[in-house]
Amino acid sequence: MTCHETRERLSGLLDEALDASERAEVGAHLDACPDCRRELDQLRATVSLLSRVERPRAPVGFVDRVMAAAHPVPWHRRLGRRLFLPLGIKLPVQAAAMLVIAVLGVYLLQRTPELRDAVRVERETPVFRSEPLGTTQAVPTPPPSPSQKDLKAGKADSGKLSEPAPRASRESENTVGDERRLDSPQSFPPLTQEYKQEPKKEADADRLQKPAVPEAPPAESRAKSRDAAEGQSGALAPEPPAMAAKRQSATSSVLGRLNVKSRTAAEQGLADLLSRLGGTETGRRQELGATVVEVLVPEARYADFVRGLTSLGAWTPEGQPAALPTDPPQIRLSIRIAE
Amino acid sequence: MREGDAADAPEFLDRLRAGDARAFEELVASHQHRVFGVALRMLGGAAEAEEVAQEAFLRAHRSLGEFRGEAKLSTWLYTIVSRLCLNRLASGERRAVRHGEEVLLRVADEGSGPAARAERGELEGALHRAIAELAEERRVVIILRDLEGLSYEEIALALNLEPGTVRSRLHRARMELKDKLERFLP
Repeated sequence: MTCHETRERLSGLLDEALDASERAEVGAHLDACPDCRRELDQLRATVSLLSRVERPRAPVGFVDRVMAAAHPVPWHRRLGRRLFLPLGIKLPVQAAAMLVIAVLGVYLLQRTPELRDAVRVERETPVFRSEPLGTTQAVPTPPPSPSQKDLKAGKADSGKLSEPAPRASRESENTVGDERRLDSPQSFPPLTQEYKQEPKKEADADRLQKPAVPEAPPAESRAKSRDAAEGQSGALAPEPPAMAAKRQSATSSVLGRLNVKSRTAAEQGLADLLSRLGGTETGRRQELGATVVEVLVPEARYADFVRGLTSLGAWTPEGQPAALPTDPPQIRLSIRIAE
Repeated sequence: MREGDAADAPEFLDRLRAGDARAFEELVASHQHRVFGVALRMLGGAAEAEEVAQEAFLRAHRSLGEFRGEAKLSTWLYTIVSRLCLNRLASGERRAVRHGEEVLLRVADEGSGPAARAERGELEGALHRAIAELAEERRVVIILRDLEGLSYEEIALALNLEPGTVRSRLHRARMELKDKLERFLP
């Protein structure tokens, strides 16, 4: 065996990886060759040096990372752990939930009385709006004029002045009217629909812009103009005032309260005033503490009639004087005489 | 379980084949340094070595049901990690890590402080440098034989080589190291 063949087997010899015949041949050569023996010693020393090399250690957490990759945790379990397992997350979440519940509870407690108040207001509002009676509820109430505002102080017995439906008016008084009187004993209902639908709309428009207590000159001028027009036509026969009043008794143009010291004296004064001015009493009824008298007054004498009422007592009118299409034109009033 | 001890016990193998996570965790814990050491010395970078070592265990985990016990578990793991390393080195898709003394010196110094490095001194630096400079097919044989202690047959099985080829590559590698470490030899 040559030196080259021997040196090729030196590693095998060191590792005892040679078979018996090779080991014998290599051994025989080494016994006779000092160079190959020195080569074997150096090779053994080299392997000895390699055995001193330290083995590196896997980084910390390597096992956990391998296990996490080999056994991935289901998403719901990971979510559960993240939400509930670490106290750093669990406690703040629970604290936040408790805070939200507490704030919500306080909010609801504070809001509940307000909601009740709001319900109360909403329930009271229809009562206030239900003051108009019967037919008047269907008609939108016009914005109150200054005179109407003044008259609201005495708007009691409003429905009673509507003659075409006296029973309905009384029934409404027994129901809603009672409540209205409790709220405002002197309140008047708004104008009736029939009053606002009177045929002479041009005149209505003029009158709506006038104060509640009209002055004589305009009424007189209108009466004169109508007289002139009728004189030109001359065809219409004069209708008896009683019939005209009966036919037109469905509405009241002017409502008013006449506060007097003596009701009897005032009733007598009113009768005298009507006879003096050509007016007609069309109805009368007694109510608790008051006498309601319905009259028709010629439009031409309306101003004088109002002045006469003022002399009898404190006259508080409501409504717009509107002449009925009678001959001559008349104005209907409902006067509540009270002490 | 100490590293490698009782890893091939039949009961333990049965647990592994049955998918026992605890058994697999024990296997990883007992073989992590061996597998990581091979990868680190073959690849030179700790991050890449950990990546390959982790992949080796995951492949083992997926293939545990097919493990017949014809070789030791450690040999099987060496086989996986060695082939992964050689494939990676041959693929050219590696990160910009070059096997040189600087890398392996850093590898050798991992886990050691300055004092320990001073003690090891020049000899260990020369050893790591010499190993790192070996050709890949020789380096893996040296690592498996002289650093990890596998037999020729185990190395042949792991690298799918003939035993004669293993002996020849091992002899060449040792001779190369002897020449490079001559000044440290008697």
